[in-house]
Parts: sequence; C-alpha cells; structure tokens
Amino acid sequence: MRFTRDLHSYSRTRITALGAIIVLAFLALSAIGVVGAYEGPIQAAAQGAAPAQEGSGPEANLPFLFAVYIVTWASFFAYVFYVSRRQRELQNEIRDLKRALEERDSQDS
Amino acid sequence: MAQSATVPIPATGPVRRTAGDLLLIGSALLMALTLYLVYMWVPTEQNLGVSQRIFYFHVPLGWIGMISIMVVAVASIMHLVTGRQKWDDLAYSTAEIGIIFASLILVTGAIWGKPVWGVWWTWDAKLTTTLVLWFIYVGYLMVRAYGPAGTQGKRFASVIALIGAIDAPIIYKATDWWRSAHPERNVPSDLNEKMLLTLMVSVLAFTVLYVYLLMERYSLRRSESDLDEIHQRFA
Repeated sequence: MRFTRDLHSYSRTRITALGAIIVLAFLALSAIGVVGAYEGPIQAAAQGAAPAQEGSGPEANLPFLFAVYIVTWASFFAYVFYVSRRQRELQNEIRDLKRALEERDSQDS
Repeated sequence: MAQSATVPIPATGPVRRTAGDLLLIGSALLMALTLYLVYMWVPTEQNLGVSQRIFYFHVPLGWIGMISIMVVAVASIMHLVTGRQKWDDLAYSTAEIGIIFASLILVTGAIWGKPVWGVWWTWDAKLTTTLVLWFIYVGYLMVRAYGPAGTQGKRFASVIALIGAIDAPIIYKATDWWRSAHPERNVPSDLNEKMLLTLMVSVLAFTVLYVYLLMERYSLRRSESDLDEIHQRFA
C-alpha cells in the first residue's frame, strides 16, 4: 500500500533522526564531562542543605528560565506544525482517492 | 458503485470541532494566566531564586508525561481485549504526545539541574527512571514503525506500553526507595499558598493543552486508519 509505505517511511525517518540527535547529545555531553561530573551540591541537596546556585542576585538564573520557556513552546509549536502537515497530506490522499474512484466509475460504465 | 458506499469516510463532526475550539481557547487563556502568575505574581523562592520558577513548567510536564503512559497502557489493554482499532489509535496518539512531554521533562529538568546542582545530568534514581520511561515511549513508536505490520505489531507495542505503565509508579516512588538528589515529593507539603495556586493553574493549563492535542491527534490518526483501510480495499 502506498499510503502505508509512505507513513512507515516517514515515521522511520523521524524516529531515526530523533534517535541520532539524542545519541549525539549524550556523546557530546559525555565528551565535555557534564554528565554526572559534579557530585558535591547534589549530596548536599540530598541531605537537606541549601542547594548551590550559579551566580548571584535575584535575576542570576533568568537565562535558564528563559531556556525552559523557549524549549517548551518551540516543541509544542513544532508538534502542531507536524500535525497540520499530516492533515494536508491526508487531504491530498483523499483527493487522489476521489479521482481514482471517479476513473473506476467511468471505466465500469 | 456499491463498494464505495461501505467504506469509512474520514470526517470531523461539528460537536468535536466545537469541543476542539473550546479546548484551544481555554488552553490559550489558561496559559496566559499561568504566565502572568509565574512571571508577575508568585514570590521568588529564597534558596533557588528565579530558577525555581522552572518548577511551574517542569512539574505539570512530569505529571502529564506519566498520565500519558497510563492512558497508552489502558488503551493498549482495551485493544488487546476487544481488538478494536479505535483503542489502538488512541494508544498510538497518546504515545506520540507522551514522548513530547517525556522529552520536555528531561530537557527542563536538565536546564533546572544546571543552576541548582551544577550539572546538566546525573544518574539519579528519579532521572534515570524517567529516562527509562522516555526509552519506553521511543520503543513503542519504533515497534510501530519498524515492527511487523498488522495486528502482530500492534500487540507487540501494547506489551511495551504495559511495561511503561509499570515504570510510572517507580518514577513516583523513586525518591522514597532510593537516595536521591531530586526533591522527595513532586509538591512539597509546606509549599507557599501563592506557589501552590500557581502550580495548580499551570497543571490545569497543561492538562487542557494535552487534552486538546490528544483530541486533534486522535482524530488525525482515525482518518489515517480509515484511509489506510480504503486503500487496502481498493488496491
């Protein structure tokens, strides 16, 4: 089936790309030593002590908050974009089907 | 032509469209309110500073990520029991949205971990079990993409979803069962009233957004299944 084949190949591309990005991200993080490289503040936090903060002042960590906001909304917008694109592809499929049915009807008659 | 009269016609009913529109508007309004509360109203936590406000995004994403895998599991069980396509469509749609939420839990957690713990990632019990959940979502979708076509592939994926459901309570109890840097409870019992209200509004906003996305994706998935069936019938 063309439709099934297209759908599967599209999913494969998407999932393979996602997997590759994750593996590369972990490799990059491991290479620069940020994955599990720092134990001190974590142990302090586990013992109930005040956790460490980068920088000082009330707005010291504002970029991190900004990053969370951006990543969250960029992800949702990307997903909505993907869904709307699938919707367009389905509409094209329906149009092709209608055309095929009309051709079949005309051959039958 | 008699055959064309029996095929399913992908369509969106007016009730579903109205419900979708209402959910979208409600979600947008609640998100605007959440942003106001997070950035303008709620007090700044003394120890963690501004970075604590990530909490109002991170916790709702975490809850929905876990709820999502439970929905996938329940829909998968229903599909295994009844064999009806609509349950499989629901499971697939939820898994696809669930992986977005699960990814965002990990990413927002890492961004929060850097200023608080000093590292982006550590192999803490809560973080690791959440990563396992993410891999379960990926496994589910990979089986659907690469696995056997037809009912066999759907059954394999359903079993993966059930394994994912087992992971959800483990994530929740991870801080009780293992020594962890992550806060013991997702919502501390001594949380400030304003902080609690902001969190509740944020949870509600993300839940409405989740329901809206699920409704849209499920509708699309149903149409994909119907079209696939039509193609098979007319091939």
